[in-house]
Amino acid sequence: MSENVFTQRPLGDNVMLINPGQELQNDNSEEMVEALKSAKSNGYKFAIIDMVDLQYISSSGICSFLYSVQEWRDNGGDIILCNVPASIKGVLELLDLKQYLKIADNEKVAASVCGVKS
Amino acid sequence: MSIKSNDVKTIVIPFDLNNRSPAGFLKDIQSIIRKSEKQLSLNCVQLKRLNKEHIIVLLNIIHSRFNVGMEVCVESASPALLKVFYELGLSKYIKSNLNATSSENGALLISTSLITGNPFYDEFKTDSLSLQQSLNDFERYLVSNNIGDLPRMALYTIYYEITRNILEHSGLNKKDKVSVYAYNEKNRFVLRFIDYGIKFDPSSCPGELNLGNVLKNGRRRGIGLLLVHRLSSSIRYKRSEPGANILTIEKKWRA
Repeated sequence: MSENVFTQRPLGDNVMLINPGQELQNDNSEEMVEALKSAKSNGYKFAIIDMVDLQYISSSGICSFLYSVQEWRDNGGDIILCNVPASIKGVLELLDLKQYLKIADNEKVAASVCGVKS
Repeated sequence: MSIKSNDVKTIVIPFDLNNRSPAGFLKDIQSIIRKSEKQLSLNCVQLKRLNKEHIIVLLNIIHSRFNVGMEVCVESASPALLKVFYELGLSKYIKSNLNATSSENGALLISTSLITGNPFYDEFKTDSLSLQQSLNDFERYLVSNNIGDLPRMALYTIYYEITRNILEHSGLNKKDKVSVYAYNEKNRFVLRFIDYGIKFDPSSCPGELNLGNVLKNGRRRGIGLLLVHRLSSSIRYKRSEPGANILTIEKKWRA
């Protein structure tokens, strides 16, 4: 796979949009942990993880956001996944995580769940 | 290549790649055996150790012979070579002087059903870069064998999780190598991982995840093996003497 580009940008005052790039695995999962920590400490209530470019996710990649979900919910917000490719949805389903995680079809739907007006 | 027939039924070929390319050696052997119904015997008397090229040649020969219902015979193999054959799961399928290792149970690597495609073999050092190169090679192998998107994703994930686990938890240093042997039949794929790290049996990992407990305890491990269990049709582990972890994973899927 080619070089991975990890990006993030705010969507309004309460929402941080994070795009992990083409892969989220052991070598860059810490980047996701840090991005979520930093967004939360900067007062964002919601994080949207945009998987539009994601081709591969490892167990470590899943853990990088899975273990923060409850913390965000306890804080009155959430972590929402969007543009999740079918193969990655399949992996989440195998782990029985589809019920636990909030998954939106696309960025627009995810943003509206977070209260961002289009 | 010097060839002799030690009886009317057998062609003996020295198994030695000195000054020869593996592809050239394989091509010569295949042109010889294609014309003959005789048993093929590889004489290992000159062979001190098996490197990656030898193993790839050997696997290709064994697979191509099994496709036509023939066995491969190995002569004069040293105990060190027998050990490698055993770890690769080949002892059951190689005739001749492998009695010492015939106690292996349930070796699964080659069945007599039709095997499609060439086998995959790789060995790599336990560092991230070498692992990534091996993953790339494995992905190319899956693509070249026309494995569909979903099983390809599953097999890639199994390969990634197991090798990553070895890299992070086996206690091996970066110069130590991990070997992976794989082959593909129609809608069935077999992977075998061999490493000399600390004893670890992933087949005994509980195949269930209690998400509530995991989240409550903030436990960050265990999901990888659970994923492997959920993606695999069967997982078998064996600890060989003197200390190889041999993990065989089978994945079946519907066409």
